[in-house]
This record gives sequence, structure tokens and C-alpha cells, in this order.
Amino acid sequence: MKKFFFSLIACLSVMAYAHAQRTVSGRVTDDVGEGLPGVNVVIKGTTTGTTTDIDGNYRLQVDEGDVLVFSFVGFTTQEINTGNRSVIDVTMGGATELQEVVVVGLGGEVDRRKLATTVDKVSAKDLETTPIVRIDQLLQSKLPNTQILQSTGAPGGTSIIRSRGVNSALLGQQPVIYIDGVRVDNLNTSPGLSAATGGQQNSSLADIPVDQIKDITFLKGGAATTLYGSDAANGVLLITTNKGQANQTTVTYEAQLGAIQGTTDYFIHGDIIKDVAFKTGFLNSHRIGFNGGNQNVTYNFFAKYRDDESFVEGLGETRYSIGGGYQATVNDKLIYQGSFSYLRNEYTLLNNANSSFDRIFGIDQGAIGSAFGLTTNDPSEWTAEDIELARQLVNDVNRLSDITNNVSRFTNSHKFSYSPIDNLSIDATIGFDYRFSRNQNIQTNEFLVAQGAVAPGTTDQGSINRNDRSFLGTTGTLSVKYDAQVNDFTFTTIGGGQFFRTSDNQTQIITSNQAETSTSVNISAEQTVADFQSSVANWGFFLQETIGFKDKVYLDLGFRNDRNTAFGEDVISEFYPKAGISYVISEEPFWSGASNIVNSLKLRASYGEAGNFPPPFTRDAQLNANAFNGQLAFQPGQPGEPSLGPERLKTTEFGTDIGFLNDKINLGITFWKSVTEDAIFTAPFAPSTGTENQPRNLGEIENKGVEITSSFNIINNSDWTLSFNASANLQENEVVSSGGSPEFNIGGFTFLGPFVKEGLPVGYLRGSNPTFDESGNLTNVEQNANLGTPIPDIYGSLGLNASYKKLSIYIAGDYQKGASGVNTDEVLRFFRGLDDDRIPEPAKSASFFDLAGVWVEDTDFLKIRNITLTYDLSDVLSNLTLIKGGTISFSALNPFNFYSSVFDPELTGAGARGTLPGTNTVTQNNVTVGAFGFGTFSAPRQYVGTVRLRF
Amino acid sequence: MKKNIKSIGLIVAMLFFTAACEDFEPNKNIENPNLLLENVIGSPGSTASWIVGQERQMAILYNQLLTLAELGSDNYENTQTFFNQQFDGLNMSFQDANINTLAFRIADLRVSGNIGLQDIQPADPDGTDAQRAELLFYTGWAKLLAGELFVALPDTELPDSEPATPKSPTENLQAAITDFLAAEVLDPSNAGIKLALARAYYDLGDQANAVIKANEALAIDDEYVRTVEFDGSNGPTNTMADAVFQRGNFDDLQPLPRLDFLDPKYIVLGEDESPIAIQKSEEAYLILAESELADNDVPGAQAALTSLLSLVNTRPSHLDPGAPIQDVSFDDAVEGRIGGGSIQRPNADTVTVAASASDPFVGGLVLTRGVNPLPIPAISGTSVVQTDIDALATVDEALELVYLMRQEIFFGEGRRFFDLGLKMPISENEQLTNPNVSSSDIQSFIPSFIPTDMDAFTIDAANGEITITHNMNAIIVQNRTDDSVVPFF
Repeated sequence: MKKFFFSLIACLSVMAYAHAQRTVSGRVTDDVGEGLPGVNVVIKGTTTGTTTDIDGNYRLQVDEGDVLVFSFVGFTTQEINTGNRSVIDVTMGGATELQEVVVVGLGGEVDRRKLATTVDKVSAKDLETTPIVRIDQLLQSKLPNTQILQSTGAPGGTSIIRSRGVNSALLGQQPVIYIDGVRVDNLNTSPGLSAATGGQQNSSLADIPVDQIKDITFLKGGAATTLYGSDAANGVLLITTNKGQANQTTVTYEAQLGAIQGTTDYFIHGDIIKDVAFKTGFLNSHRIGFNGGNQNVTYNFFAKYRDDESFVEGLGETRYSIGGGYQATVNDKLIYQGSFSYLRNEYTLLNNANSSFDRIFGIDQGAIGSAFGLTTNDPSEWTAEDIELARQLVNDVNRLSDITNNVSRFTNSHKFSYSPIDNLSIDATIGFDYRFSRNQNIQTNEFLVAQGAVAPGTTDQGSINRNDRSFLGTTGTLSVKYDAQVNDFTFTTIGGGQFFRTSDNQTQIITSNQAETSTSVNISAEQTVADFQSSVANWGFFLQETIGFKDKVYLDLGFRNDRNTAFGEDVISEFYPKAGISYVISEEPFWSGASNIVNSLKLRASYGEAGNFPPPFTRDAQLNANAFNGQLAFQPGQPGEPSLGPERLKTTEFGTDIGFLNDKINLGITFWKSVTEDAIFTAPFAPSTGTENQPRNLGEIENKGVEITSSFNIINNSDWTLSFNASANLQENEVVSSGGSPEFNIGGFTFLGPFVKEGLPVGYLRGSNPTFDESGNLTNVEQNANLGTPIPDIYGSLGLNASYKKLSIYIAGDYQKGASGVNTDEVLRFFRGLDDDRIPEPAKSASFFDLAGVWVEDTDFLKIRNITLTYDLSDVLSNLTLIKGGTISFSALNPFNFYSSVFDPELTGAGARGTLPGTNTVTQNNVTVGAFGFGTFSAPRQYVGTVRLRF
Repeated sequence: MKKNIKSIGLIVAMLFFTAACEDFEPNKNIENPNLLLENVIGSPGSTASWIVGQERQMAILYNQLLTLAELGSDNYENTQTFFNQQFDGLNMSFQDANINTLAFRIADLRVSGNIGLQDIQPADPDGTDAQRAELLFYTGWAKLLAGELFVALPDTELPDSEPATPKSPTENLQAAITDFLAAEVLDPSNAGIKLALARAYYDLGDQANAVIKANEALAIDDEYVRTVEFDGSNGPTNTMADAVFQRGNFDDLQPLPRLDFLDPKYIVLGEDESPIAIQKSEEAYLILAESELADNDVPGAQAALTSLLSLVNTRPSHLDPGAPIQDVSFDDAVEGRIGGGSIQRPNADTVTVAASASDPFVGGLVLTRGVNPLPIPAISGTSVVQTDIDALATVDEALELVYLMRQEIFFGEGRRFFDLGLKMPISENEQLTNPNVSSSDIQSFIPSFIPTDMDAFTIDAANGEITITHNMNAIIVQNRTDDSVVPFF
């Protein structure tokens, strides 16, 4: 491998060409005459090219007879022979849906028409509508077939990302994420070691850099991700950064000011909580950017500061980031692209509901009562004095709590594109993502005294819980693409290899009897330490052949062959094949009669496999070694499974993309079915064997459904535009086989939690189901009943874009129906005598284990995530010489929630497990199905004003 | 300038490529940081660490066992907590996840012991006979608990073997005796092994051998205590201490009012967690006393009980030096005994308690909390005084006193469940994965004379009187000839 890369470098180094060249320049505009920035202008058959500047201008050295290719997302690609012209102005016409070019990662850039699978794409312009700095929240409502649920509204928390069901009963469902071809840390569960806050878990997605995105492509797991191999079962998110536009230097400045308010929608006593705990927090953010270059070198740099005070004292987030992207055309054969980003994120958290130091959620749960000196634990009967006391309790905890997360992250990518001859291009990409986080909970003596946890005057009972995690991911990819044409056939061949390594090292230090005023762990009577190490290397080769016939039928064949250290030496390499076909039937001559109504129609079908590899070392038998009363204790650990291999997702899909009335209406329908074979289950062995659970390839999980996406471009003229998009995703999930093993729990409580059982959905909610007679007596209890599923029957997103002249509005939301969740708060209210009337009076003395079913609620919802109004200031500012243009916008985030449950159906305090089910083996990236509405804050309402100016 | 930028960019990128190449060696730095069995076998000191592992497993096992066994008795009631809610009403379903976990913990102790005996100790250059005896003690203990607590349990040898056929309580107890006898050969002066044998013989109703081993144990050490230890820093911590004293978010068990003076037996002080006694010399005297009564010898029983009482009276309270955790100002204020809703908690030493409607009201059993330091027994305690023993006239009276003392002395130690003749079923997971499990194995056993509301009591708040619904010690004595209770009768 090493030699190979050196050879490549040598090849790339020996290049110098000189030609008699001349300059061509011009302006690229849209059909209403607006300059189009970022249009790719490339000399056909080479990688030589440039992009248009902010006003649509370009300038390029060409040889006589060169053909220029103008391409831009959403517009028809044009090819223009330069002849002997020196000025070439181009008007780009709107592309049909099928002509759009999309990036499919290892497969390069492809016209949509050639794809046998669906690909979702989000452009920088779409992202601009949402003043959010988290990748998952940014994409919420924007990916039509992907559901993104925010587990908490506090900074840094995890989310649940699902497309095409839940395909694993062991592993997290978030896609792998690449920035400019480099894999980045995508851990979206609590790390192996962390300071528990009783509800929230922290995610690495919170600090994926989003400040220089050009576009995002999402490939759903299956045939679309086969080339990504052993961990692509959940899909692949490809982020491409902006490398700058040529010819004109532009300075941009963006300022955001906003107000943040906690939502009281889901509280019973929201008014009191708002009164005693919430505040209006301020958000301010400043970004400065430099963009420019010439036809050979372009660049894009930025620096940003953002401070979010959040909506409760004690919560908050401050980010500092700088980054850049650049492109150098070394000669007409070789282009170098690079990007980097450094981000520092500091956020503070509070103790959540499942912590004895919570005082906010406890108000709603009936936990704040006489034990704290109040007259009652029922807030609806609180006196003014009680409310003041509650306010004091909340203030004491929030003021003195010290839970911090500090993250530093450096990500970079380098890509060489070499095109030695026409139709052949070689891409080599290398880069890394390094992330260091310190998660720390300091409980000072003052804090403990204020909570009544220790006697007043105590000075030596403090503690520090410090968790350091360093992650290094390195990626290298080499791919070769060759285009050929023989008569009516075109051949696109892509082959290459990819290597990545991730190394995750964590250390936890917990001190006790910590002296006051010191944040050094040395100043304590006792320290305990733990570490967590996880490293994995994966390398594979891929080959893909796309055969086109008459530019309307495309056959797509490919495979990937992987090796992965998580499988061990005993496992032969994994082979993932794919095959697909697409047929643009509307290109047929016989279609012309119908083309007024149906202007484009594509049929597609594909089959593909992708994998999901188990956590490193889970195949090995191991001993558990623990410190126990100052001695080392050996105990048998997991028994090992030498043949443990990846989960294998086999996806079959077929569908159609239809454009009606000259693309005024676009409709996509996909029927899909994916089967996870060799699903890794941590099902128990016979208890009498005393054997710890061991992840084994025992099960089979089937997901199937229909994805419907639609867009309606109702009005589009020089003054008015109006478009609407909606998606609906119907899905079914079933554990088809458990390999004969008993069911097992993957989270929640034992009396009521998500379980995995043959014949039922992954994570179905299991618990006792009570029956009451007319008088309210408990007459029957069905033990271990199926109380519902956390996976919705249907979900989707809705969006509206409208504009009048310079003013535009954007509205986005998403919904789900048919899922269930557990109202954990109500369980606690029941304990404390504040329950609602769901349990008949005579049955209230029953064991709550037997009553479990009453707390499972339907979790249908429709949430409007974003309403943004934008005004283009170009005309207003045109009199100013310094300022070239700008926009002003106002956004309301999370303004409206409609929901069927008594709790926030999106929240989950349960999170993913920190150990393999039924074992003491510390792990991370375990599956979570959510559905435990408990423990933490809902997403707040935010009102944000944004000004963007171009100089 | 333009060229310079390009050149610099290229050089930087290539340097990066070169530097990164090292990182592309697939197996570099990919090592399992965990401990493997083959790393341990044959290493000096491995048996010692293995035995520490068994001690730790005992802590894990007892955390699971005690809440179940105590709730499945008249000792403790689960008010509103996440501990098992079914055992209070003796609803012991084979689908109960806690039963499954307990069976797993017991099996874990047994198979870990077997690995120690088979692989670890023989290969350890530092291995000793005493260590081998210790490992045999643990395998025997696992079988003893299986015999005492379960309708049947398989005793599968090793983790990777096929699940074995379930064994009856008698078979499991006999297997325990086999292990204890083997341990006794290797470590003949170990009072704990003698006591373990006495207990196993007692459980089987083998009066002669139980008495022999009880006397041998007392001869070696008549103040013997063996405890399960916890680790407040690294865990496991004492779940019972959490349930009866520390009371985290949801943990809260309430004692029967007549046992209030014994609660909390387990406490936490900083990083220190109360240990749990699993063997103590008191047991030998109780076996001797019951044996005397089986032989109709009331004076003999009185003599044994007198020795027992003097031993109990020497045991420390939480306030005393020599207590597992000495807390001179222990007042249990942290417990916050506040009644409310369905929770009724007597909290004054003026309250009197009757063991049943036909028993007299007795004072001194309920304490006033949060005022003065409380001398709660840390190892053994009893409400019985010498005059009670002296006044015994009949076998029935004496036997009821023996069972009251068993209840009080073993309070919080998980022993009452066996004394009541109760047995848990084999769990669903075992049934699903072990073809040898029969339909009768998954049925719990509850003697017909055991009521399911053993914890029930009524409070007459006006007069400060509590009447417990069932005097379980009297019920045991009434049914002493039943095979499920009072082994020597």
C-alpha cells in the first residue's frame, strides 16, 4: 500500500505542459438575467476549468477548438465550442429533474438520469435558510426520506437518524459522514466513558463543521452505498465544501442575532417552569468570509464566532471556527483541491431529570415538595412562597452546577485529480479528522451543600468526573474513472481502493473528597480511573461499470471487497455486489405524443448489498478485569465468537421518477425492501451456562416500505415563485428470525422497555398490559405484552418556498404517525400521587409493573421546524460603492408543535446503552430506538435575524 | 507568486501524503486492549485475582438475590420502586427478568469457580490448596443457593458446554455438600466451610451431620462472620444499602413494623459500604436449638439459645467500634421516613406492634428516627431477651422463638425465603435455550399455608398500635411437619 501511494505521488509530480493558449471570459446568467455564481466551467475531456464568481463571471485559458462545458445544479448542462471567440456569455436554462448532476462519492459525479437508486441532495442555498450549526438539525425536514429526531434541545445532544427503518438490533443507525472524501467522527451516542447527567448523551455530530458547505448528498443504505462497503448499511452523507470562485475577490460578513425561549408545550405545569426556570437567552454569531482567486487558484476562507446563551441559566454554547477550501489547477492535467476546518465548541449542561440534582423536571414530576420545604408537591396548589422556594432551588442548582464539554476538532482533506488522457481521470484523496473532547462534571462542596447532599460547612466532599476522548480518523481513497463510447453504447468504469482507520481513546478520572476551589484532580483524596480504547482499520477495493445505451438505458454493475480488523483474521474478505438498471422511457420517440403532460419518466430498479461492522474486538473471548477493593479481580467475560462478521444489508428497490407539465410537478416513488442478514444479536445464552452475552450473527431483520417524494412548482415568473414539496415514507419493520434465541432488551426499563423478538419490530415496547372492568378494577394483566413500536408507520417532510420579487419565505416541517412511546414523567407522577385519570381509582393500588401499558402513548406529531423570511438587499445597497449585495432574513425555529402524546415524542432520555446488552462490556454506538419521552429539554423556540453582506 | 502558491501547496500536500503513508498499514495499532483468558492461565498470582473475581461476583449475586428474597418474604415490602414488584405478592413468574438474572448470577459464580479449579489454579505457580478450597467454597455456595431458592436449576459445568438437566433442590444441595467436603479436606480448620456444610445438611434435614458440622464450626471459631464486601469507589456498591438507607431516586424498601428496630442494617458512609454477612456463628446455635427441639429437648434448646443470645449481644451496632462501618452519630435522618399515599410508616418509639391479631402489643420494636443516634445492629440483632428464653415451656413456643430469632438475626440476608419454604421457578430464557427443562420446572412453589399478603398490617394511629395480619413464625410452626419448612421436623 505504501509503495503504491509513493508511485502515485511520483506520477503526479512529473507534469508540466505548455501550450499556446488564449483567454476566454464571459458571464453566466439564469433565465431572468441574474448572474449565477459557482457554475462549473470545464474544458471538455479535461479537468481544467473554473467556476463563476459571485456575479456569474468567469475567465479561462483555452486552446483553439476546446469545448467548454457549463454545469450547475438545477440547470441544464451546456457544451459550447469556443471557436475563436474570446467572450462567451451563457444563459443557463432550468434543468429537468433528471438532468441534474449529483455527487455519489466514490462513483464521482453522475447525471441523475443514470442512477438506478435515489439520491437526496441539499444545496448551500437550501442550508442558508436555516440558522443552525448542527449537521443533523440542519438536515431535519430537508432529506425527504430520512427521519431526524432530536433527543434533546440542550446543546451537544444526540439525535436519532433513520432512513429505511431500523436495520440493526445492535448498532447505531446514523450514516457514515464524509467531508470532501474524508470520513469524520460520527459517533451519535454517548461515548464509552462520559459524565452522566441523567438524561442527555453527547454527540460528535454537534461539531461537524458546517460553515463552508457547498452541498450535501445523502445516499440511503443499500445499492447506493455498496461501493462504501462494510459500514454503509445506514447510508452515506457526503459533504462537499466550497473551494472558492475565480476572478473576483469577495468578502462576506454574516451576523446573526436571536432570542431563545424554552418551550413549555410538553409540560403539565409549563407556566410555573417558565416562571422559575426559563429565561430568554440571546444568540449572536459573526462570520467573515473571503472568496476569490484566478482561473488557476481559487480559495474560500472563513472565521466564525457564535455564542448561544440558551434558555436556562447554566446551559449555553460558544463556538469558534475557522476553515478554508482551495483549488489549484496545476496544469491542464492536474487539479489539487484542499480543505480544512478547525472548530472549538464549548458547551455547558445541567443535570437532567434522571439525576438527584435536577430541580426543573422534578416540578412537573411531583418531586419538588415537602422534602424541599414546599407545602405540597402539586405545583397547581403552590403558594407564592412555594413558587419562590422552587425558583431558589432551581437557581441554586443551575448557578452552581458545572458540567462542561469542550471540543476541539481539526478536519482536513486533500484531493488530486489527474487526467493524463482524454476520458481518463484519477482521483486520490487523503485526509483526517481529529477530535478531542473533555466532558467534565465538577461537583463542588458549595454545590453539594446547596443541594442538601452534605452537611453545611463541608469542604472536602467535592468530586470531579472528567472524561477525555481523542478520536483520529484517517482516510485514503484512490479511484480511476474511464469513459468510453462504442456506437450507441457508453461505458463508464470506476475502480479503486479505499482505506480508513479510526482510533478512539478515552480516559475517565473520577475523584472524591475533592478539596474546594481546585479543578485539578490531584487535589483529592481518592481518584479512580478507567479507559476505553477502540480502533479499527478497514480497507477495500471497488469496481463499478455503468453501461449506457442510446443515452436512455443504463445498466449499473459493481462490487466492493472489504477487509476489516473487526472481523479478525479468521474471516475471509467481505464481498458486496450491486446491480441496477434505469430506463428513461420518455426519451423514446414514441413518447413524444405524451411529453406535454409527462415530460420525463424514468424507471429504475436495483439490488445492492452493504455492511455494518460490529464494534472492534467483540469477536474475541475476553476476561473482565476490574479493580475491587484495591485488588485486581478476574472474571470470565464475553465468550467470543471467532466467526463474527458484519451485518449484511441486502436491498432491493424499484421505482420511477416522473416529471409532469414541463417539470411543474415531480413525483418519485420507490418500493424498497431491505433484509439484514447475519444481524448481530446480543441474545442471552442459557442462564445456567453462566455465559455473558456475546454479539453473534444470529438474526434477520426485514424492513420494507414505499418512499414518495413530490414537488410542485406552481408559479415561476419574474415576480412570483411558489413551490411546495412533500414526502411520505411508509415502512414496516420485523425481526424475521432471532436464530432461535430468546428475546432481549435494548434499552429503557426492564418492566417496560424496547425488546427484540422474532415476529415483532425491533425495539417493540414490552410490558404488562392491564385490563380494567367497568368499575375500574384490574381484572387481567397480560405479561410481556406488545405495547407498541417506536418505529412509525409513516413519516415525512413538508416544505414551502415562495417569493415575490426580493422577498421570499421558506417553511419546513416534518411528521410521523403510527409510533408509540413511553410517558415516563407520568409514571413518576403516579408514584407521587399526581397522576392523571388514565388509571381507574380502584386499580391505583396495583403494582406499577402490572400497569405498564397505560403509560404507552401514540406519538404522532407534526412539527414546523422553520419559518424564514428573506429579503434581498441588492437593490437597496446598490448605491453603496463598498457593498455589492446582501440579504436580510428572519427565522422562527420550532415555532409550532402538534402532537398526540402528553410528552414530547421526539425526546429520549433513555438513549443508547453504554454496555453491550446483558454484559458489562463498555461500548458505544449502540442502537437506540428512542420512545422514552423523559429526562431532558425539548428543542427551544428561536427567533433569529440574519444579515449577510457582500463586499 | 501564483507559481509559488501552487508549488507550496503541492509540497505541503505531498509531505502530508508521505507522512500519512505510515498510517495506512492495516494492522498498525490495532490491538485488543482487553484481557484474554490465555494471557492469564499460568501467570503467577492469577488464582488470587480469580478469587477476588469470585468475591466480586458474590457482591453482584447478592445484590440481585437480596432484594428478591427479602421482598418474597414478610421482612420487607416494596413501596413504589423499580425493585421487583411481583415478589411482594409472591407472584413469581418464570417470565420474571429478575429471576432469570438471579439464576444467571448463580451460574456465573459456579462456572467461574469451575474455570478457576480447572484452568487457573492448577497452572498458577503460586496456587495453594487453601485457594483451591476457596474456589470449591464458591462452586458449593452457588449450588447451595440453587438448592435453597429454586424449584430446580441446571448446574451446567462451563460456559461453552451444553445446558445441563435441571437438578432438584436435594440434588443441588448434595452437590454443594460434595464441593464443601472437598474444600474441607484441603482446608480442614476453616470454620466457614464447616458452617457451609452445617447449613447444607440442615437444608436437607440431615440432623446428625448438621449438628456435627455446627459443633465443629463453633469449636474453631464461635464468633465467626463471613461477609460479602462491596467497593464504594469502583463498584459494585451495596444495592440493599441503597434500598434501605441511601435511597437514591427510586429505591425504597420498607421493613415489617415488628422488624423496624433492625432497619437499616446496611449503611453507606462516604466511599464505605456495609458488607453483608452470609455466614455467622449464630447459625450454628440456631441449628443446634432446632435440633434439640426436634428431639423434644426444650432445656437443650434453651441452652443453645442462651449461647446464641449472648453472641448476638456482643455484635456491634452502627455506633460501635468493630462495626463494619462505624458511624458514631448514626441517626438515619437521611432515610426521611415520611408516609404518604399508600405508604404507611410508623416513626415513633411509642408505637406498639402485635405479631398478629391474637398476639399481644409489644413496645420497643419501632424507633423514633432523626433525633438521637440509633444503635441499629450491624451484624445480628434480636428483640428476644433472656427472660423470653427462660420462659419457654413447650416445643411449639420454643420453635416459634427460634424462627423469630432466625428472622431477626438473618434479617436482610436473604434467608427468610427458604425458611418460608418458597422456591422460584426456572426462567423463561433457560426454558427457551435448554431442551431439558420440563413444564413443572417453570412453576414456582409456594406452600399452601403461606399467604400472599405476608407484609400486610393495619395501623391504629389514634392508639399508636400496629397489628400485623399474619404471624408467619407461628404459621411456620403450625405447619412444621410439612416437607417444605422446618427441616428437622
